[in-house]
Amino acid sequence: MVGEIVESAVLSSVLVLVGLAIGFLLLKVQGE
Amino acid sequence: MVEPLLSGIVLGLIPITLFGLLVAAYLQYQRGNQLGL
Repeated sequence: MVGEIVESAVLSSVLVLVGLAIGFLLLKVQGE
Repeated sequence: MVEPLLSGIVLGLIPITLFGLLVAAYLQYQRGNQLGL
């Protein structure tokens, strides 16, 4: 129960960070 | 009745949102107001 909640919390946070990183990388590539 | 996946998503998005807001506010605090409003 608790482990499942922690797992999905970590996964959602990591997914958000990965999405932001990809977005900023695309902006950086586009700006060159 | 507690949905572990839903609770995890909510509890995972809250700190990352607060962190992002703090980073955005700190960057504006460092750089100062450029809009002159």
